[in-house]
Amino acid sequence: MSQTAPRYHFVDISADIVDANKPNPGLVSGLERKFREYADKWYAETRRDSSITRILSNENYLRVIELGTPVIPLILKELQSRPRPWFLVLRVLTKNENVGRGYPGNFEKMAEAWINWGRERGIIK
Amino acid sequence: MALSNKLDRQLEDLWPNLSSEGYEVKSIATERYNCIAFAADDPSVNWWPAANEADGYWPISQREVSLACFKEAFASLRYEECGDGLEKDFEKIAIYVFDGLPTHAAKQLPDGRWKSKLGFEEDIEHNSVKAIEDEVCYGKAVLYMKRPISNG
Repeated sequence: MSQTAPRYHFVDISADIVDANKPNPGLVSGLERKFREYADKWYAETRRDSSITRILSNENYLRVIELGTPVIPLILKELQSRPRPWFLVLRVLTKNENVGRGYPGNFEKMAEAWINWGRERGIIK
Repeated sequence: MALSNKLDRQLEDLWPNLSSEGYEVKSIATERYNCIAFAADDPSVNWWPAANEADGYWPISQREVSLACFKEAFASLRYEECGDGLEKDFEKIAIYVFDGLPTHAAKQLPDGRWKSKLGFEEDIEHNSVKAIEDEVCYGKAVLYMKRPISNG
């Protein structure tokens, strides 16, 4: 039996990427709380999985996509502390398929590529 | 995680057979590689036939989460199907399936025990394939493959 990649349906994201260097406590704290909740549940529910298909189709992982582009700086900061496979979410939110593409399965190199991508655009320090 | 006593209660909660079958923790937790890469002796990247090639290294062009595709991938490493049990001068892998889909691979040690990388968790050595069989995630070992140790 084969397993096909999940299809994603999400609303059009019109908000600009949040500037992580510009304080906006209300927005950031609410977003951070949601992101932290989904990320922690994702970690807990997939920590034993070796199946990347299952890891990337976990409900909490997909909910991070629903948070839209403002969550990008938080994901990049998360990658700075641990190279978990946030790459599908980043590809969907940024519509950029090329970052880290030369390192299939190498989460450390892919994380590094995305962190550099964020730094070059001033999204993270 | 206490490596000193070679056990991890959190792992035992996730895999109920571990404590009765016997195991030892052999590494720290890491996302650097997964069980398939570990069974293929490549602890540098994550192996998986992910739909997007960036999400997992895969040694063959066919990318499908199916037992046939996993068998083909290990065949590309000169493994062929065999029975369980220890065979002199051969190394073996076991592929686990849950709900019809491959979930995990373990590699046999020269003494007949097995080694596995557990998701984002640690590497362990376990006394049997049953030690990490379950009803919620890995399922059961259904396919064994071997290759001569000299070819490794």
